[in-house]
Amino acid sequence: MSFLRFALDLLFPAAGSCLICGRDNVGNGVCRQCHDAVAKKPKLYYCPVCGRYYPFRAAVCKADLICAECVERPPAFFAARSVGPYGDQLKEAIYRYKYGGFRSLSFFLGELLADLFLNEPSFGDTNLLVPVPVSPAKVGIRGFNQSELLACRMASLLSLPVNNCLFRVRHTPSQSKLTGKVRKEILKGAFAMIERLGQVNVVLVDDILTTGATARECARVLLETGVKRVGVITLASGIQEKFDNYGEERRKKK
Amino acid sequence: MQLVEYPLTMKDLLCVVYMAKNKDRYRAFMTHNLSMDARILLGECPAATLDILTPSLPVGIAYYILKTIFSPEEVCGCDILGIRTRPRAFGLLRSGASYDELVIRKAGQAVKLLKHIESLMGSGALLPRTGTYPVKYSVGCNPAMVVIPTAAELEETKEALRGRILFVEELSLILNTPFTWTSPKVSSAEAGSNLLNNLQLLALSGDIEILPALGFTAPGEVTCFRCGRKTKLKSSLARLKTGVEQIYHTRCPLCNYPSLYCEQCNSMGESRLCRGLFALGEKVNKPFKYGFPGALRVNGNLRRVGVPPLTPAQSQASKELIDFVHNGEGGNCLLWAVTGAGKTEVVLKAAAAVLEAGGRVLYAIPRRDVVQELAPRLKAALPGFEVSAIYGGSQEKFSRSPLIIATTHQVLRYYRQFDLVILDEVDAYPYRGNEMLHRAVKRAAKPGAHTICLTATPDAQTLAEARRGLIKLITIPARYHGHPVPEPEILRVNPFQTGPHGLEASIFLSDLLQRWSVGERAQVFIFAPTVKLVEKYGPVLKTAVAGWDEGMNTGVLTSHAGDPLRDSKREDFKNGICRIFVTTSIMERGITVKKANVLVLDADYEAVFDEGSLVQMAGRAGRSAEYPGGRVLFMGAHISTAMKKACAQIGFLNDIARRQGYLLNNNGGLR
Repeated sequence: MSFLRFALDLLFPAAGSCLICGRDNVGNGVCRQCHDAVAKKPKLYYCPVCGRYYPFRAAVCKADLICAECVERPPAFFAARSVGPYGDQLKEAIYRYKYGGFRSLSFFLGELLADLFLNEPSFGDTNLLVPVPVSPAKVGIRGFNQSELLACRMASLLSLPVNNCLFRVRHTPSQSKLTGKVRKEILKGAFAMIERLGQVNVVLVDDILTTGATARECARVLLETGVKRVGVITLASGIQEKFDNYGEERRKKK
Repeated sequence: MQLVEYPLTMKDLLCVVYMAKNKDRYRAFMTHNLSMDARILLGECPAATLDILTPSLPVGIAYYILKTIFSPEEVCGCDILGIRTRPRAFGLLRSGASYDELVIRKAGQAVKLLKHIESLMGSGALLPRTGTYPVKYSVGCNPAMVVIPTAAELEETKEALRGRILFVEELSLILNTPFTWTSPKVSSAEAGSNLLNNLQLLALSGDIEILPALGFTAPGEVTCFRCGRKTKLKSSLARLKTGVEQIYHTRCPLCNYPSLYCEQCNSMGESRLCRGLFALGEKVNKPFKYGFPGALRVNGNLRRVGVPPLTPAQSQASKELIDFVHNGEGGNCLLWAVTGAGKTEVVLKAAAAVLEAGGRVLYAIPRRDVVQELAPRLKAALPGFEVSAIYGGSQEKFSRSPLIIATTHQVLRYYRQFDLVILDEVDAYPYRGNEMLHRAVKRAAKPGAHTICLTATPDAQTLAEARRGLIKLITIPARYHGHPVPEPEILRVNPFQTGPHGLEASIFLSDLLQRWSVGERAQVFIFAPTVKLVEKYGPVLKTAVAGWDEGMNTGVLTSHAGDPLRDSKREDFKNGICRIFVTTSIMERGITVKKANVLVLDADYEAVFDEGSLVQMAGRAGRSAEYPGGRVLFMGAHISTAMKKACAQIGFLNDIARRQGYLLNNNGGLR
C-alpha cells in the first residue's frame, strides 16, 4: 500500500504550498507568480556606489548620479548591488525568510543573489564571500544567520568559498526603526575579524541594505585587515528619500 | 570503567540515555542533568553509579534510542530477574552479572543506532572519536549539593502544564518565571528553581511526558511531534519525489549539532531536533452517563441571557446533541445544518451540559475574527463560566478557562484537555485536507471525549461515514425563521458580450441587476471564480450600473483574497453602503446581509466552485426573518455536476424540513 502511495506521489506529486503566498503549488518552493514578482528587474535608478534606489525611473537619469551621501562620505566598499528595492513581494519574501523562519527560502533567494552576482561585471574577480555576522543573542531567537545561509547557497552555485571571518564584538539593538546617524554611532566598533584574509577581493553578503551603515562598518573592518577590495551584495536596498537637494542641484548645473 | 564528570552546559535540550540499578530493580531513561537523576534514583550512596549509554545528544535522537532499545516496562522500571538473556549452557545466571551484561548489550545497540543516524546526518557528528560506551557516572562525594525541587514547585509546574503540550519557554511564560538553562556556573539554589529540572523530575516520576519537538521515529524517518509531518531522510527513491517535504536539514546554532526542523508548523515556534516538548494530559473524568445535576439550571441560564428560544428543528437537534454528550462512550458527531440555521445556539446547550458537569470544552473556529465575534456572545450566553478567546496575539493564550474558543491552529498547544470539542466549519479552509489540524484536534481531546463537527456542506467521505454509522449524524434541515433555503436557478447564458468599447454586460445581466438592486432594493452578491475574473468583471459592472437610481447607492464593490481593504469592504457591504459586491469565494462564509440575492458567474468553473462552495454561496440569500426569500442564480456556459449536486442538496434538505413540519405554512404556522 505504501509503495502504491509512493508511486502515485511520484507520478502525481501532491500540491505543496508556495513559501511566499501560501497558494497551492506543485513541487517545493515558490510559485511562478511569486517567483516573477520577486525576481522582477527594478526600473528605478540606483546609486552606482551604495546601490540604494532613487524614487525615479532609470530613464530620467542618463549620467551616473552618485548619491549625496556617497559623495560626502564615500563608503569603504567600492559597490553595492541588490536584487530590488525593499517593497512588495521581495519584502514579503525577506520577511518570511528572516522572521517567519522559512529557511528553505534561502535556496530561492540565494539563486537570485547568484544571478545578480553573475550579472555584475565588477564582482568578476571575487575570491571570497563573507556573510554579515549576527549576534549570538539574535541567532538564539531566530535560530539562524540569514546572511550566512544566503552566502552558502550562493557559494555552492558559484563555486566560491565562504568565510565567517567577521564576528560581532557586542550585541547591537535592532536597527529597523533607527535613523542613519544613530545606526552609525551604534555600529562603531561592533565588528571584528577572527583571522587576516590577506590580499583578496571580498563580497559581503547581507539581506537588506537600508542606510548602508552595517555594510560600511564591515567593509571598513575588512579593509583594515588588508583585504584588497570589498563589494556588497544584498537582496534588497532602501529607497532614498532625500535625493532631492543634491541630485536636483547637480542636474540643474548640468 | 572510569568515572567521568559529565558536562552540564546545555543551551538546548541535549540528553544522555542511561541505565540505573537500585537493589534488584533497574530502569532506563534520558536526562539533561545526570546529577539530579543520579541523586533521585540512587539515593545518597556515593558508590552507586549510573551507566551512561550514549554521549549527549539532541533530544530527538536520545528519545528514539530510548524508545527503540528499551521496552516501556524498562523505561518505567522493572525487576532485574525479568531480564531476558540468551540461553546459556549452564542455565542459571547471577542477577548482578546479567545486569552488567545487559548494559553492555544495550550500549552496543545504542551505538549501532547512532552510527546509522550519523550515516544520514554526517559522520562524526554524534559519536566522539575517542572513548567507548557504556560509561559509569557517579553522583560524587557530596550528593547533598544537588538541590532537588520542592514539592510545591513541582505541583505548580504540573498545574501550569496540565492539558497542554508546550515548549519550556512557553511554560515559563505561564509560570511568569524567567527561563534559564542549567549551567555549571549557577548556584545550587538557582539550579533548584530551574524549570527544566522540575520537568525532568516530573517525567522521572511518570507524571509528565518529555517528547522531542522533532525526532526520529524509524530508521531514516523523522517526525514532527507537534504537527505530525513525517519525512524519510536520504532514501534514494525519496529524493526523486518533488512533492511536499517540509522537514529540512540545518545546523543548530545553539547546540552546534546537525539538526532538522519542520517548516509546516514553524509559525508556532520552531520545532527542531534538539528542542523538547513537554506534555501532561488532563485528568479523565467519569463518563457523563448518569445525567447532569445542573441540566435544568443550564436551560434556565441560556434563556435568561437572551439566546432566542430555539425553533422545533433546533430543539430536536439540541436534544439529540445532549443525548450524544451524555453517552459515555465518546465519539464523533456531525451536525449538518442548512446555512443560517443557527448552529451555534444549538451546540450551546450541549456545551453548557458538559461545563455544568465539570468538563472542559473547546470551540475551534478557522477564522480569528469569528473567534473575536463569538467570544462575547458565549460569555453572555453562559454567564456562570469563564470563557477565553485564544488566537495568535491574544492576551489569554495560556488561560485555564473551562470554555476555550480558539482558532484551529492554536489547538496544537493542547494535550488531552477537553471533554467536548466543537469544530466549526469543518469543510472549510484550513481544516479541510489538513492532516496537521486533524491530528491536533484529536490530541487536544481527552481519550473518550466527544467531538461535534458543524457544517452546512459535509464532504462525501464524511457523509459516507455517517451512513455507515461510524459517526453520528444530526441534521437541522430548516432555517431558524422557518422558511426554506432559496433554491438556485441554473441559467446557460453568457452574461457578458464584446461591444465597441470592449467587454460589456449583456442586456440580460444589466436588466437582472437593475431589477434586483433597484426594483427589489436587495443587495447583490456576485461571485466569480478567480481574482483575475473579479478584476475583469468589476469595472464592467461598474459601468453597467452607472446612473441607476441616483438617490440610492448602487455602487459596485470588488474584493478578493489579495485586497488589503477586504475587511473594511465586507463591513461596508454588511452596513448597506453598497448594493453590489463582486468577489471570489472568499466571501462565501461568515457574511450576513438582511436582504440579499446571489449571482454566481462562471458557476461551471469546477476547479474552484465545488458543491460545498456553491451551497455556501447560495446560502447568503434569505437569511434574515424580515426577508426570508431571495434569489439565487448560477450562470455558466454549461451545467456542471457540482451545480446539479448543489441544487439537489439544497432541495433535499428543504424536502426533509417540509416533511418533518419545520417549515411555516402560508398562515405563519408550522406545516
